[in-house]
Amino acid sequence: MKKLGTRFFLISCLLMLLVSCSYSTSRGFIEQPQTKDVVVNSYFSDLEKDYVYKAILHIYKHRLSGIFIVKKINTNHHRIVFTTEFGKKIFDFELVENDFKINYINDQINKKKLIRTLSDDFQLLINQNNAVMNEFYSPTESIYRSKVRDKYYYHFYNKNNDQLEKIVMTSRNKEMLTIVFQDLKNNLAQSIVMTHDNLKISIELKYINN
Amino acid sequence: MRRKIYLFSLVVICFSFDGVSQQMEMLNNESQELRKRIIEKSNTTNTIISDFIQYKHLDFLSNDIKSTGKLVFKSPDLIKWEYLEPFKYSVVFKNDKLLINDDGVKSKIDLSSNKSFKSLNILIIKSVKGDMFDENSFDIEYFKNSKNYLVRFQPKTSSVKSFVNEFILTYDKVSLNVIEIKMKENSEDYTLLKFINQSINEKVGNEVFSN
Repeated sequence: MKKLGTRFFLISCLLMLLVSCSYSTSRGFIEQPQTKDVVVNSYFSDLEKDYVYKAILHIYKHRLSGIFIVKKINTNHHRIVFTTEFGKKIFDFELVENDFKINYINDQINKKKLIRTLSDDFQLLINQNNAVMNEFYSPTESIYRSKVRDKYYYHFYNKNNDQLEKIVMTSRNKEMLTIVFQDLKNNLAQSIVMTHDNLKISIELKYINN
Repeated sequence: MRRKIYLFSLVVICFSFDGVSQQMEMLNNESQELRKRIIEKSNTTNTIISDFIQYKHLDFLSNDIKSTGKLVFKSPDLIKWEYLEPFKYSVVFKNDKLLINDDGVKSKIDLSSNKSFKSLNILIIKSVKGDMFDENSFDIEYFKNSKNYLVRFQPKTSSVKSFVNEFILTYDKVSLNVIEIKMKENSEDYTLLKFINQSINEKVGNEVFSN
């Protein structure tokens, strides 16, 4: 009877483990010994560069187009500003270490939940170095998992050229946000698409050669 | 040593004169005369066709963000504002509607139900024509230099102040055309529009204002 109880416990644990790992980000990937301690996202890392993009933001029912600007001010310090084509600011955020500061936000989008979402999204977009917790094997990609506060980040690098092509942010058991980097040249992503899995929020960025 | 002092003095004098030439406040009677002339000019401006260069200055950036395009205005209230480089984006203000074409993706905003867009439309028309001399809405200061007049309009109403802290319009001294509009924000950031290749009162068909 005691044996049966132990077996039941073990099976339950295994099932729970399988369920908790069953979201598609890591589905089918096999964990392998770590080859890196840190994963690097270099797309917003140059202090000399102004990263200027034409942007379309879909926020619930609204479509906002404009100019999206990212500037690295210092180590772990970025400024992210979104303006209309005419130059009117929609938001102006500052990310210092893990702090998120609002310099300006338009009244129409000044909503607590939305700001918290954008804060997490932009943290993921610009976070340059992340300590690797796990590494997974795939024939085409190198996949690394890291943890920032209560979120998990999965960085996907193309095995042929070692370029970062995708980052997925998850909670413990579900995907939250996917960022896809395309047209990659000299540490610059000319096209970036950020898509939420459970919210009607997405951001499309096309690089402007300013 | 004496030569160095002489050169230093020369540099100081040159910069001082440059400073004075950029902003010399106008006397009251002079500014009222200018105001009258600009309003007269604005009242006889039926159409404007102009290229523009827009500089978005954000203090933390290494370079201003530059975009270029074309502006067409037809009295009393038709405006087409078209960005051509580095992206394609145009808006038309027409019959209480804002028609937007974002690189082929078209949308429409009803201005009759949107007060802030409507007042923005009125402000754009007034600033492009150069006639913003409404003392109930703005504190106004007049300056001049050798080539231009410069008028600073500080909004009195909080609704306008929330998106522009100050408008600075630069007029060509001879033609009285608006050649620059600078819109300052609460911070050091601003948007600067420079108008070039201007044609005033050339024939403009209504078909231009489709989007």
